[in-house]
Formats: sequence, C-alpha cells, structure tokens
Amino acid sequence: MQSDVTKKVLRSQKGKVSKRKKEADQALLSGAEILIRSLEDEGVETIFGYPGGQALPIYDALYDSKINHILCRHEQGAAHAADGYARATGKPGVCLATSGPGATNLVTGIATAFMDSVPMVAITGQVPLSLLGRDSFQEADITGITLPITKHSYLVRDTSELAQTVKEAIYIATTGRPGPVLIDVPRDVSSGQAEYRRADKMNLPGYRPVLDADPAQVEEAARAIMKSERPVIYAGGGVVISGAHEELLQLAELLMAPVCNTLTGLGGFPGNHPLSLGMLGMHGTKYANYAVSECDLLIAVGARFDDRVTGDVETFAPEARIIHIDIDPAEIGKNVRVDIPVVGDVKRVLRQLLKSLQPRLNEAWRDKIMAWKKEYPLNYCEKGCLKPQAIIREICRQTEGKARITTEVGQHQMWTAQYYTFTRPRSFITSGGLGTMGFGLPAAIGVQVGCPDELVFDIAGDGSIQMNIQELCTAVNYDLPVNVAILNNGYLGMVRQWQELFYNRRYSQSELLNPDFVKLAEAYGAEGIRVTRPSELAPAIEQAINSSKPVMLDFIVDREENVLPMVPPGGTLNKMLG
Amino acid sequence: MLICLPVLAASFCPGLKSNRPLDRYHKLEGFTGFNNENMCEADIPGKAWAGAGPGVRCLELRFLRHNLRGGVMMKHTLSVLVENNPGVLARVAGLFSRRGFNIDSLAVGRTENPRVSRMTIVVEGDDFTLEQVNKQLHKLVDVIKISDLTKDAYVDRELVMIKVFAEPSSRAEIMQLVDIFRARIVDVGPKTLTIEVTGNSGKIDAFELSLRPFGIKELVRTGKIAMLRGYKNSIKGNNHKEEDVS
Ligand SMILES: Cc1cc2nc3c(=O)[nH]c(=O)nc-3n(C[C@H](O)[C@H](O)[C@H](O)COP(=O)(O)OP(=O)(O)OC[C@H]3O[C@@H](n4cnc5c(N)ncnc54)[C@H](O)[C@@H]3O)c2cc1C
Ligand SMILES: Cc1ncc(C[n+]2csc(CCOP(=O)(O)OP(=O)(O)O)c2C)c(N)n1
Ligand SMILES: [Mg+2]
Repeated sequence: MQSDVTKKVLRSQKGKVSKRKKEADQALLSGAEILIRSLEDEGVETIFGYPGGQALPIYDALYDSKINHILCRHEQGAAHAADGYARATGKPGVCLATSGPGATNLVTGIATAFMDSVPMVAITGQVPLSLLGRDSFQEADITGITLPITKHSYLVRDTSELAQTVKEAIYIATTGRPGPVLIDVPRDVSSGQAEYRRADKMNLPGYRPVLDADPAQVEEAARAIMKSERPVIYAGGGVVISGAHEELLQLAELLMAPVCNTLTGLGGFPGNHPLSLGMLGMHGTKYANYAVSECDLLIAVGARFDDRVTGDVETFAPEARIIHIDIDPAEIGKNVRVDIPVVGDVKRVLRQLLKSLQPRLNEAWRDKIMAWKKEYPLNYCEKGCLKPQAIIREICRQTEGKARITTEVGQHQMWTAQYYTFTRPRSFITSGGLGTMGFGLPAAIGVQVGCPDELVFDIAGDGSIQMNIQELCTAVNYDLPVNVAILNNGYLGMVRQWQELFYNRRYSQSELLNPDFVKLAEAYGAEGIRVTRPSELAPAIEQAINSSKPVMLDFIVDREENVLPMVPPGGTLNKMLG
Repeated sequence: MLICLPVLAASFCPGLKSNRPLDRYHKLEGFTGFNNENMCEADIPGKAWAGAGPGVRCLELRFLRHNLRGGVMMKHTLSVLVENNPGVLARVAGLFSRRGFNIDSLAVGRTENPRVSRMTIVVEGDDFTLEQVNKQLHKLVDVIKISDLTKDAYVDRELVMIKVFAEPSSRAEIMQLVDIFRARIVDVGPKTLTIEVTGNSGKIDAFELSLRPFGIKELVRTGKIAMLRGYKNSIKGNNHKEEDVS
C-alpha cells in the first residue's frame, strides 16, 4: 500500500525523468528504512532481536544503521534483554522479531514488561497485507494475542504511517504509566516506499496521562499526614519509574516516617538508611509488616497493593487511613479502600506535598519500630554447609550494595530481596508481577548493554537459569561480562517450599537433575566456577568480579533451606511463619 | 391500557430469599416466581409497588440485585467515544471479558465525525465495578471520552425485528398490537408477518411478550443506543426532564 504522497511522487517520476526523478528517488525510502530512521531519530541506540523471513527488509535496513543490534539466542531473551535495558536506563527497550513463531516467542517477555510497567517497544514482522487472515505461512495474529498484555499496539497498514507510528509508540510506552507497545509491520509495508518525514505532532486524543495532581487532594493528604501519629510509607516501583527517590528520602526524613518497599520498589529508598524497613509483604521483614499492621496512616507511593503485599485485604493495615499516590487512576481503590487518592506523577506530587509539610517526629513510634528491628531481624542458621543467604550477603559486601542485580524467580529471588542492601534506584531488576523464570540472564545482558561500565549480577536458581541459558552465548558473543550466581539447591526450591508447608512434603516434580553448570559455561566460552564450601565463597565472588568474561558461579547450597519469614497466601501480615 | 411501570421488588415479594435474576424485566401478569438460573440476594431496598390500579397491566418489574460485596447491581448505559481504528472493538470487548465485566448490550456505529465512533454499552455492576470499567476503558488509547448516561436524563432506543406466525384468524389482533406499539409491518409472508419496532427496552420487552402467544419464529434485536436529553452534554446537574415524545 502506498500513501497519496508516495503515489504522487511516483507519478511525477513517470512523467519527467532525469534530474526530477533523481530528486524523487532521494526522497523515497523503504518502509524498513523509515522504521529504522524513525527509531534513530527518537534516540534509540540498541535493538535486541532475532531475524526471520518477514523481518528481512527491516534487517536489511539495520545493516546500514548506526543502531547497535544485539542478536539474542531466543526471542524471549531479546524481549527480556530489552526489558532489563529499559529498567536499568529508564530509556525504552526495543526488541525485534519476525512474524509467527518469532512474534509468539516475544509474548512472555511482553507480558513480563506489562506487569511491571516497563517502557518497551516490540517490533514484529508480519506477512504481507494481502496474505493477512489466510493462515499464511508464519502468520500469527500477534496484535490480537498481545491485546491484553500491551499498553497499546499497531498493525501498520501503510508505509507512510510508519514514522508517525514509531513516534507514538515510543511516546505511549514511556509516558504516564509506562508499558510495552507493539508495532506489527507487514512485509509489504516494510518493503514499500514512502517519503520520510519526521513525525513532529502526536495525534492521540484519547491519551492524556495526568501528571500534576489536584492541589486539593495534595492538601488533604498533607493534612492527614500532619495529623497522623504513626505514619508508614509504602513505596513501590512507581518511585523508581518516576525517579522520585530524592523526594521520597526528603519526605521520610521530614516526617521521620519509616519506609517499606515493595519488591519492585527496592532501591527507591536506600536500604541502609535507618528509616528503611526493607521489603514488606509475603516475604517481607517482620518489622515492615508489623509497622504496616499498626500504623495509623499508610502513605502508598507508586505501589499497587498487590496480593503478595496485602495478604488478606480485609485485615491489611487495619488501623490506617490510606493515602494512595499513583499515576494510574485505575489503581486507586482497585484492591483496597483508599481514603485519600492522589493521581499524578510521584515526583511532582511529592514535590507539591513537601511544600505543605513541617518536620515531625513521634518518638514513641520511632522507638517502637527500632525495637522491632532489633528484636526481629532477618536471620538464618549460619552453621553447616553453604547457605544461600550468606552468598547474597557476600555479593552485597563485595559490591558495596552498588552492583546492578537481576534475578530469576524463586527462593533465590526472595533471598536477594531480603539480604542484598540496595542503595540506589534501578539497581534491582526482577520480574515481580508475572514472576517469570528465565528473566534474569537476558535481563542482565540488557542491563550490561545499557550500563557497560557497571558490575552486573544475575542471581539465579538452578531451575530458572535453564529457561534461557542459551543467552550465555549472547553475553560471550558481545563481550558482556555479566556474572551469573546460581544458588543450586537441586530443586525448584520455591515449589518445594510450598509443598513442604502446604502439601505434606509431597515433593511432586520439584526435584531437579541438573547439568554440570561449570562445563556448560565453558562450552559457551564463559568462565565457570563451582563453590561448595563457605570458605570458597569470598574468593570465588572476587574472581568473578575481576574477570573480564561472563562468569557462571555454581553455588551448591543447603538443599532444603526455606525463605522466611513468610505470610501464608491470603493470610494476615503480622501473622508470619518463621 | 398498557403501561411500563418500574417496580422494586422488596415490598412486592416480602421475605424473598432466593438466587434469582431480580434485574430482569418480568411481566406481572402470569409471573410465576423466581425460578430463573441467575442469582440475587433478597433484602432488597425498594419502594412499594404503587400505581398499579385496576386496568393497569404492569409490564416491567425492576429488581435490585446485590452482589457478594454487598454492592447494589445496577445497569448503566455508557456512551463511549472511540477513535475509529481497526481493532478498537476487540480492545473494548476484550477488556470487558478479561476483567469479568458483564456487557448486556453493545452497539457501535460512527458518529458525525467519520474518524470517531460511538459505542453504547450497557453494563451491569455495582458502583465499584462501574468505577473500574470506567477507569480501565479510559486507559485504552483509542478511547476518547466516556459518559455514564445513567446519571442524567437520556433517551434510549433499541430496534427489534420479529417474525411472528400469523394465521389469517390472528392477523387482525396482531395488527392491532402493531398499532398500539407504533410498530411497523415490514414484510408479509403466507404464514408470517415481520414487524419492526423501536423503543426503549421496556417497550420492546412488552411488545415481544404480547406477540409471544402467536408464536415467534425469529427475533433480532439491536443493542441499545442512547443520547442525553437537551443540549449536548451540558445538562449535568440539570433536573429538567423533557417528555419522551415517541
Ligand atoms: C515469588 C514472588 C514473591 C513475591 N513476594 C513479594 C513480597 O513479599 N513483597 C512484595 O512487595 N512483592 C512481592 N512480589 C512482587 C509482587 O508480585 C508485585 O510485583 C509487587 O509487589 C508490585 O510492586 P508495586 O506495588 O511497587 O507495583 P509495580 O508493579 O512496581 O507498579 C508500579 C506502580 O506505580 C505506578 N506508577 C508508575 N509510574 C508512576 C509514576 N511516574 N508516578 C506515580 N505512579 C507511578 C503504577 O501505576 C503502579 O501502580 C513477589 C513476586 C514473586 C515472583
Ligand atoms: C516460567 C515459569 N514457570 C513456572 C513458574 C513457577 N515457579 C515459581 S518459582 C519456581 C521454582 C524456581 O526454581 P529455581 O529457579 O531453582 O529457584 P529456587 O526457588 O530453587 O531458588 C517455579 C517453578 C514460574 N514462576 N515461571
Ligand atoms: Mg533451585
């Protein structure tokens, strides 16, 4: 399909040859070239992808582009890598795949990004328009499949729409509550020709994210804060997304209010700050959960009252009035009743709010919290064999809490949340909402691409790492010195823990036979280190940190260690096991 | 005389404790109880069934249904302006099914602006659900504007076409009904009449009920379309009601 513009140009070509024709030719680009040019013009530097038939025109255009393309070994890896890149840098992550199986392989990665509000643009090749809807070779209705897991999507029907589409897609992905946007590009659209005109205006009458909150609501929040005796701040991923960590710190210090973070919020408040209570919720610290259960005011900042956090909503924060600051109006009152909703961007709202607040300190409340912290610290039995918690502590010590950490999903993820002291935003990158095993390694690759000079660790489980282990090859291929620390317990540990606690120790299908991870690492051209004794722990981590290659550390850990404390699912926050 | 009279159920059926669809419209005459398949809770706040004097056949009963949260289930008519993009219907429909919202009816068509379509959606839920429906719809990039007409005075219409068995002996009676309901006969067959009628759902229900004894062969019904009364959308907070002139 060609636009009017294109047709006109073509017509003029036919008419007068020579110089005119030359000019017209220069003005015409292929759809794929327009796509790539538009991405360049929007500041995209890196694409994670995997080629195939219907994406070939796009790959051809990439050949001449200054955009850096990372060839992952699986499209799911490409999507997670783009996700990790986006979470680490705040810039949109871009992934690219061919039609059909290439596109469907992106699905888990798109869903992961959607659940955690990550700005991502996924571009897929599609069969030509004329073949759409005929079950053509490698046709999959990817806009249909991803409808519930994208913030928005486009099936581009005309080459001349590409530039505008790219601009809008990036704008939608990165503004408001961020999320993945999919652009499906039929092959005749990418190989057709049109004039490239950089899109300047957005035409989105239905899309107007609210950034500045209603001043009256902010005032009401301020009044509630000044009246409260026992405030607690519950800070989520929205703080990190918004870059509101400094404002959050000011707020906490002004009110002397303790701060607990959600899993995705970790790093949004310095974990080593005296007011930090670490993570709350199912595997949160006892003191965080006690504080929430007894506070008279809960200030929720960029958090969405997930059931892993609230447990039973009826008994969640029973004594508290709740202020909920969130950019997405649909989050307000979705899971719990909210007394004072404030819709807006966290950073702006906190700035507004800070103007109306005076310093406060309730010594009794502070002392109570300090006492809880002292009485119920996170702990584990340090005796005996290699403990997973000790490994996280040691990685934290050697990296001074400053590494970029990704994780897979399972017990190792929770131990990382508990025992690594995150001190800066965007340093903890984990799949919280979807809980995607296989996320960590490709995400670490994306993080390393986005932050080439930083130390990156993927804390992995022996089960999860095998879901995208092929990406080790990508790391080797592009000299990305990521470190993978496998907490190898020979189990799908989190599953085993639930079976132990709730299914009478019937370990149905949770025990694992694993490959030799050291040899595997070596086969990929990475470095492999096995650690079986506590004494080997520190030197091994040091060796990994100092290596310029990707390193896979295989820690043989206590097999049946559990993640504690734990609020049983649907339980009440202050009634924890362990 | 036939009139449509909304009646709340509680006082009509005191002590009712059943799991029935109290939001459905029933014909009072010959109304046999609540043995349908849906559910309701019984402590229904409501007004007395007033105004049904002699000669009045009540054709519409409206019941309030409570859900598990204790919220009152209500039907709402949403008027949703959307960009006329491919896939927009799938986005809206998908949203409803995914989040477990019940669509009662949905009608789509373009507006005075060809780039913009209007969806009239009748959705049932308590206040909480409606708030979520509203907010989730707003998150769709293609959705431009949503108004819940239920809060204001509005006119709503459906169109139904009914093919009814019409033996020569019953034709006259059917034509009389057609007259009363201001319906129109649009096709005449050897054994059937095809009739169209427009109106609000109460009227259409009533018409259908009155044709039922003759035997309905086929029935198609559009979704509801609706519009605020008076001048544009500016009548918020304006209690003035214009007569339904149809
Ligand atoms: C095995 C496992 C166990 C888990 N256990 C726990 C647990 O014990 N504790 C826990 O906390 N989590 C746990 N999680 C994670 C949990 O499932 C949720 O992902 C997490 O709690 C959600 O965090 P959040 O509320 O910060 O929301 P996020 O998903 O991070 O969402 C961010 C929120 O901020 C808003 N927002 C975005 N941008 C802005 C902005 N600019 N301004 C304002 N608001 C903005 C969004 O609208 C959204 O509401 C676990 C996950 C797994 C896989
Ligand atoms: C793709 C996917 N499949 C299944 C699950 C369910 N699940 C959650 S944790 C877990 C076990 C993870 O095992 P491992 O990676 O070894 O980590 P561990 O819990 O042992 O630390 C499983 C199977 C999941 N989260 N993701
Ligand atoms: Mg394991």
